[in-house]
Amino acid sequence: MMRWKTNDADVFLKSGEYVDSLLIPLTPLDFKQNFKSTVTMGEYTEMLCTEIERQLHGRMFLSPNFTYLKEHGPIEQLKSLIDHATASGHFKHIFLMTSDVYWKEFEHTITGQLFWVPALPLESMDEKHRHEVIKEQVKPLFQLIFNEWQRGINS
Amino acid sequence: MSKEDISRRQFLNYTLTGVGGFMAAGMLMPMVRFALDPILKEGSDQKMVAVTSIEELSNEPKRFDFKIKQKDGWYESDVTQSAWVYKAKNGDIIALSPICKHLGCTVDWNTDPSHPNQFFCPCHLGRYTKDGTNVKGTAPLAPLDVYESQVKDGKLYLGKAKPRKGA
Repeated sequence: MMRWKTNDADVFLKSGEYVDSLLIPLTPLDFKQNFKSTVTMGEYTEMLCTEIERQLHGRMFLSPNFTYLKEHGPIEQLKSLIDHATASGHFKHIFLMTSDVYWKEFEHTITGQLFWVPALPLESMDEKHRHEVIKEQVKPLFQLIFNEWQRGINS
Repeated sequence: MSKEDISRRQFLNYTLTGVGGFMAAGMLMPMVRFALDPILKEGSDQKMVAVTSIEELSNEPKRFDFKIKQKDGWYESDVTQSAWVYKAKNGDIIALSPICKHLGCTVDWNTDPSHPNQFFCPCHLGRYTKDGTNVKGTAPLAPLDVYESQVKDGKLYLGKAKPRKGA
């Protein structure tokens, strides 16, 4: 596991040279009119991130959620977070995962790969099907991640 | 036959020993259990889980996901585990853990075009041959773990993944 846990931090500091990728879930908050759909987005993003982290935790560090209120224009804060992560020297590859379409327009101004995956309503599905769906959804993302890593080798 | 078969003194002795014994046992049992608890617990983790029917298996490794119950103190959670399963030439069923021995990524079968028919770890390009032996010169230093497996009523049951000696 490579998550925001003290034990993981120890492993990370020991084998840091191998863990060169950071995955940041971008999670919108809204306790007013879009409460439920916002929760759905966050849950979906989290499921995708968990699955990716489960399969790639030897190289991918899963960051805690980057939570924000849309009306605060969180783009600058995200940019400075990414700058901070890059400047730490730990991470060569930054991946961002979200279901919030807000970020789509900033895709090209962000250093890091943005995965925008619209949330599917999975709450009525049973555990097993849900896992199947997530696995299918994550597959193409793996390909994008591998491509990004490949580029890192070639360049 | 007569009333003198058992004296009042004896009767009291018996009853007091009996009751005292129960009380002592009641006090000691939790202590003994507490001391032995980790040993007793071990057994419950060993449960084998039905993963697939054996008809679905072939010579080509196939990935199966299954859930096991993991107890962490009082907190019980379902953990998804995967296994690469295939039939070896001699008919044995081999179930390998997909967890890369390098840093724990999930390995895939036959996904590296330049090295076909091997397990491949996308994180640091680790490779394993079909029987799970790590390829020398790649990142991992030990072969993939092997699940304890058992076939019962046409179904494959998997237990714990056991590590093996390095190549």
